[in-house]
Amino acid sequence: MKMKNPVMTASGTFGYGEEYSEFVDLNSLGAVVVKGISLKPREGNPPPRIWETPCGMLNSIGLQNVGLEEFLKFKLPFLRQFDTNVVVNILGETLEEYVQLCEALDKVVEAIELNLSCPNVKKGGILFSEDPEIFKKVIEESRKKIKHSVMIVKLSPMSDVKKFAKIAEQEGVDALSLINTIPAMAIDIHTRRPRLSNLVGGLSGPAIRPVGVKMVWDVFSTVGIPVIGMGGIITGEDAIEYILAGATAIAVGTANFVYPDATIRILNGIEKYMRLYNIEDINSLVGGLIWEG
Amino acid sequence: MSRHFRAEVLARESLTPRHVLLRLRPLENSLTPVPGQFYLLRVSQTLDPLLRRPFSIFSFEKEEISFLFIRKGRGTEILSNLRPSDQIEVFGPLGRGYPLPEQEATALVVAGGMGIASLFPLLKAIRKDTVLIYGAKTKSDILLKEQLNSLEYVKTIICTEDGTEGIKATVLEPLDDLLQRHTDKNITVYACGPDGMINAVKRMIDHYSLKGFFSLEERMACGLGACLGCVRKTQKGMKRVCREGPVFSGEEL
Repeated sequence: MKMKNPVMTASGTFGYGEEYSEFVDLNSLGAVVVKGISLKPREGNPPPRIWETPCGMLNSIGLQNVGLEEFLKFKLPFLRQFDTNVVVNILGETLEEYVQLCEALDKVVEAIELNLSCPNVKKGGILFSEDPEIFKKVIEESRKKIKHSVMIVKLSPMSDVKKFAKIAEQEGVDALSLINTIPAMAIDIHTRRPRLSNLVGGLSGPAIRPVGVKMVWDVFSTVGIPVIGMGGIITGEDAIEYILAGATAIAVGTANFVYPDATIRILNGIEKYMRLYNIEDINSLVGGLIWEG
Repeated sequence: MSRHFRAEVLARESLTPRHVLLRLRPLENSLTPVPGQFYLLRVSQTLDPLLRRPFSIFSFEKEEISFLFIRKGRGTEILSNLRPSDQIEVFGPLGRGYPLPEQEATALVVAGGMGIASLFPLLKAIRKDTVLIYGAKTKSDILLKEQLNSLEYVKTIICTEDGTEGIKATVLEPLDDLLQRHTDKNITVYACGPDGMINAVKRMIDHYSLKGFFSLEERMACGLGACLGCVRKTQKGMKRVCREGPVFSGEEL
């Protein structure tokens, strides 16, 4: 997948692109990653779904989405007006659903990102990202159906990322994205009730950035396939930090809620850094961390 | 014209020790809102608090846009410490506002507590005989008495739970009383207030088969309908307060 720059959006934070098109020229983004799509529409969790925390937020949306059919019919045509890559984040409740989604989306979009680690939805008490055997199986079967699009697997920060990254690489995955949100909780001490109806949500925002940078470095040092880094990127400097840790591309998530034009601000920040150090090719910075360890 | 602009603080007025009127001057051309629409204000220059805070528009003039709120948490605390000439990032107008009553219809406006902030611009815009039922816990929570008095079309019924101002009642008693006496059923009810009040008013207008519009409040992140953080369950599934709302019709809820 050719990208005009390393800036992508993080799934679930940019809707289907349309929501932000008033503030962001979608042509200027490396890729738009849309809200996670399931085979059938999903209603998601009851409210309250979000709670602000220091330099971050919890969310438990519960993967509300329009479903594959409506995405293809209404959401994708809008995105096709723009000269950018479309990446669809997919989520299944069963192995078969992943396979069907891959089959339906292969060649239709530039890349498919397998979400195996949403902290807000569990099926049978286990996430696909928790058990290496299940993880491997989903990837193996999905890989068979993805013949033209780029195949990305999103990694959970709750797993041994090095181990899971290796499994993904061995199964022929083209790129890895990390980190997903970190499972977290908040309690209203006056009512003694959870802040989120779902009890647990995913923590995102600048609070988790150092965790993301470390995990990107871990994965970059372990596998040879490209890494998409994300977690709390608000500025161009934050993006550079991820790139130095080994990210070939970066995704902007919670920052979109803080600044509707966050992606453009980050893009400009990256260019400013490149001018400052006379860097012509951003790829020369990937994994450029200097460390005598 | 952008919905994302900077504004300068003109004044921060304390209506009571807890109620603040924040008056801003947009530094760029901004769009004209309709009553019931809202704005997201960036409260901090830093990343904590991280998210913007939603406020319904209180008043809008060519050179001035203002918000009325109660000091309640960290965000409103920071906003209530702003000083004239401080700058702030403003994002809006967002969402759907109140539709004006149809030509033949009479408006009945029900405000609970801070709900008055969202309904006040509507009262100014209606420009025909309207009844406002305005309830709060106690006398010190009743705001804008003079301004309401100066609205010539508006007849205000004030009620407080402890009876320290107006009649001792919640908004529901005078509302029921009025609806029972009214033979003309071409009434449109507008309500903004706590969820409990909204639900009770909604039940009442259903009982009398009236048309109604309700403004809801929910914690929000993006304000654009992208994050799906602010949904409410409606007759037609989950709806986003920031996009399909904050004003919903009675049939939708």
